[in-house]
Amino acid sequence: MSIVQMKRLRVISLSTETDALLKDLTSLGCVELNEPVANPDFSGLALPCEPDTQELSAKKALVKAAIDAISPFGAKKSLFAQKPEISESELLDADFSPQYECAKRANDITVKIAAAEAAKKQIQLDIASLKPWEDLALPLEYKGGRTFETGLFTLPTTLDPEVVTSALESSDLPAEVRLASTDRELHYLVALAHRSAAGQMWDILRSYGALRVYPNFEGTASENIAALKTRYLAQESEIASLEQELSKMADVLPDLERYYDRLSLDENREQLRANLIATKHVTLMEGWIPAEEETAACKVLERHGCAYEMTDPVYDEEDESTQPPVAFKNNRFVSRFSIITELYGMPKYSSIIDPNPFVAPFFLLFFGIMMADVGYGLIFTIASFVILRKAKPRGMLENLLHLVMYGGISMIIWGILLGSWFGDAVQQISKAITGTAYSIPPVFFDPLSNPMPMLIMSMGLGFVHIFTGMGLSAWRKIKKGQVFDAICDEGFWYLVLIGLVVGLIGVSFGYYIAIAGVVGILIFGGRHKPSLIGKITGGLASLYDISGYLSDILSYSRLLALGLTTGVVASVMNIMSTIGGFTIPGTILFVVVFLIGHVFNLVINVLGGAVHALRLQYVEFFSRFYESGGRQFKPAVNKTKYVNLK
Amino acid sequence: MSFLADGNFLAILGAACAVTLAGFGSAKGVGMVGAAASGVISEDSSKFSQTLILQALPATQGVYGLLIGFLIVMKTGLLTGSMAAISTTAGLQFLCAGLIMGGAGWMSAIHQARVCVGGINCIAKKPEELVKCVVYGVMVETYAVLALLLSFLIYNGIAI
Repeated sequence: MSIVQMKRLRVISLSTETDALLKDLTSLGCVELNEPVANPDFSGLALPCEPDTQELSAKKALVKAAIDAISPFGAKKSLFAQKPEISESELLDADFSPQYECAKRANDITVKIAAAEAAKKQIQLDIASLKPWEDLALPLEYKGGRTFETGLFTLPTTLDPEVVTSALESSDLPAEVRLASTDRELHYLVALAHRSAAGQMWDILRSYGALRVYPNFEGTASENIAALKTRYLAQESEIASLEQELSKMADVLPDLERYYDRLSLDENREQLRANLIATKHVTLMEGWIPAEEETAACKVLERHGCAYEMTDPVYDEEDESTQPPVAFKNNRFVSRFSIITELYGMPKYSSIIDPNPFVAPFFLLFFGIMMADVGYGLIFTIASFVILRKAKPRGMLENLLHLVMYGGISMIIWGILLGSWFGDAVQQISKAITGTAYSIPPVFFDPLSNPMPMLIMSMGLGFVHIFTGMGLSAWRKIKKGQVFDAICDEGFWYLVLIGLVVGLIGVSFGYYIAIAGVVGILIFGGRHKPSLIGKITGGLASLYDISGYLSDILSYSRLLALGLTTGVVASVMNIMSTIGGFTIPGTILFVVVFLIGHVFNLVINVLGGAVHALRLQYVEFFSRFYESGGRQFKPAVNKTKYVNLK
Repeated sequence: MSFLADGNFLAILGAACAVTLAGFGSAKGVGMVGAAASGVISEDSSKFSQTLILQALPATQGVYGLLIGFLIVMKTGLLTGSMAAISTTAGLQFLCAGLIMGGAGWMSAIHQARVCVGGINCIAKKPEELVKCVVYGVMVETYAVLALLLSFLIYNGIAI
C-alpha cells in the first residue's frame, strides 16, 4: 500500500556475459536500465553501445507480413480466444529457421499475387479501351489499301458527329465517316478517304475537334478482347492457386506468431544495449530496482560473475530528474485501480503517498451512485466476468475488465439501495400486464421523488472525500516532522468545516468551533510571508479558500444529477416500450424498444459516469494532497503479442 | 395573447425550450467534434474509438434537456392523455425549469465541443493523453450538470 522503495543498481560484467545477463534480467522483469550517470564520467573512455536492431526489425517486418498474408486463411479466432501459454525458455531457446524460410516463401507468394493482380488490372484497362471498337471488322493496325486510307477517331460527346459527317458530305470529297460506337465521354469514328483526298479529310476532322487514335493492338478488336479474356482467366486461376498455397501454410501460423514474439523479445533486448557503456571486455550498466527484489537480482548477478552494488537513492527533492522512478505496490484489488492514477500522471517519488487505496473505494462509490441500477450492474458484472473467464486477457485489458466488474457490483448495490431495477421497469411492466403497478421499494429513498436527501448524501460524501484528501496531506506533513504546518493548513480547516456542519445541523456550539478555526487561519495563514503586512493579508487570503471548499463540495451534487439521468432516461424507455400494452404486437414492441432503449441509456451514461467519477478524483480529491511529476517505473520485461508467457 | 397566460401552454413551452435549446447545442457540438474527428481518421483510422469518446461528450446536454422536457410532460399528465389544468404561475415555473436547462445546455455543449475539438487535435499527435483531454471537456459539462440539478429541483417543487 505504498510507493515502492527503489535502489540504484550498478553492475560491471564481462562483455562475454552481457547477452546472457540481459536475457536473465529481462526474464526477472524488475530492473529498469538507464544511461549511466557514472561519476567519474566514463563516456570518454568507452564507446556507448549502439544497438544493432536493423536485421531483427527487418526479419520482424517480414514475419509480420507473412502472418498478415496467411491469417485470412487460418482458423477464425473467436471473440473469447485465449492466447496459447508457453514458457519463456521454450520461446527463447527454440530454433526458428524453418519458420523464417516459411515466412520468406509466404512473402514470395504475396509478391506473385500482387503481380498477378496488377496484370489483371492492366488487362481490364486494355479490354475497356478496346470495347468501343468491338463491332469493327477492320484489324486495328489497318491503315488502308493502295488507293485509300482509313483511320480511327474519337470525338467528345459534347460535339455532334452528325455535324462532322454533313460537313464532309458538303465538301464533296471522296471520303466518308461512320460512327462505330458511343460511350459516356466519346464518340468513336471510322474514317475512309481516297488517297488524294485523305489530307483534306484529316484537316476537316481535326477542325471539328476529332482526334486520331492508334490502338496498340494487331487484329480486330473482338479477337483481341477474346484473347485478353483468356489471359484474364489465366491470371485468376494463377491467383487462386497461389492463395491455395498460402492456405496450405495456415497450420504454420501459430509457429510464425511465436517466431514474431521471439523476434520482438530479441529486438527489445538489443535496444537495452543503448543504455550500456562497454569496452572490449567489460560492460557497465546502471538502473533502478525495487528494494524488495534485491535478493532475486543478486542471485542472477552472482551467477554471471558480475561486480555490482545496490544503494539507497540520493536525490534532490526539488529536482525531478534525479528522483527514482515510481511504482505502486498494492493488493490485487487495489492494483486494478492504479491505471486511474497513472493516467493522471505519476506522483513524485518523494511524495510518499500512494493514492490508489483511497481512489479505489471512492471511485467505485461515485461510479455506483451515478449509475445506480441493478439491471445495468448485472449486465456489467456478468459480461466482464464471462470475458475474464473465457478469454483470460492479460495486462491493461485484464485490469479494465476487473474495473468494469467491480463497477457493476457497485451499481447493483446502489441500485438496490435507491430502488432502481432497469429504472422503473418492474412498475411499468406490472402495470402493463396486471393493471396495478408493483414496485420494489428502495432501501434508502427514491431520488426521483425525493431528491433532497440524495442531494445531502451526495455532498456529505464529497465532504468525506475532501476530508480524506486533507487528512492525507496532514499525515504526510506530520511524517516529515512539519506538525505545525499540518495544524495550520489542515487542522484549522477541519475545525471550520466540521464546526459549520455541526452548526447547520442545529447545534450552535459548532459555530464556536468554526470561529476558533477562522481565528487560527487568520493568525497563521500568512506565516510564511516575511513582512508583518504580508502575514496579515496572507491570513485573509487563505481564509478566502473557503470558496474553494464550498465549490468543491457543491461539485459532488453531480452524483445526484447524473444518477437522475440514468434513472429518468431508463423510465422513459420503459414507458415507451410498454406503450403497446400486453398484446402480441405490444410484446414484440416491448422487447425491441426495451433492449435498444436500455442499451442506448447504458452507453450514453457509462461514459458520463466514468468520466465524472474520474473528475471527482482528479480535480476535487487530488488537488488536496497530490504531488505529480513522478516518472513511471518501466522495468525491462518480456512483452509478447500472440502468446502469453507462463 | 390570452395563450400567454395559459398554464398548460407555458408548461409545454418549458418542455420545448429544454429539449430544443439543449438539443440544438448538442447537435452543433457533436457536429463540430465529428468534423474534426473525421480529419484525424483520414490519417489514422485506429483512433476511431478515442475520437468517438470525445465526440460523445457534448451529446449529454441534449439528453439532460430531454430529461427535463420529459419530466415536465409527465408531470402535466400530457402522456396519459388527460392534461391537468395548470395555473399560470405553475406554468411559468415549468417554463423557468425548462429555460435553465435549455440555456445552460445550449451554451455549455458548444463550449465543451470547442474543448473536445482541441482534444481531437491533441490525440492526433498524442493518443495516450486521451483521458486528460476528456477531463478538460468534463470541466465544462459541470455547468450543464448544475443547471440540470437546479431545473430538477425547481420542477420537483412545483405544485399543480
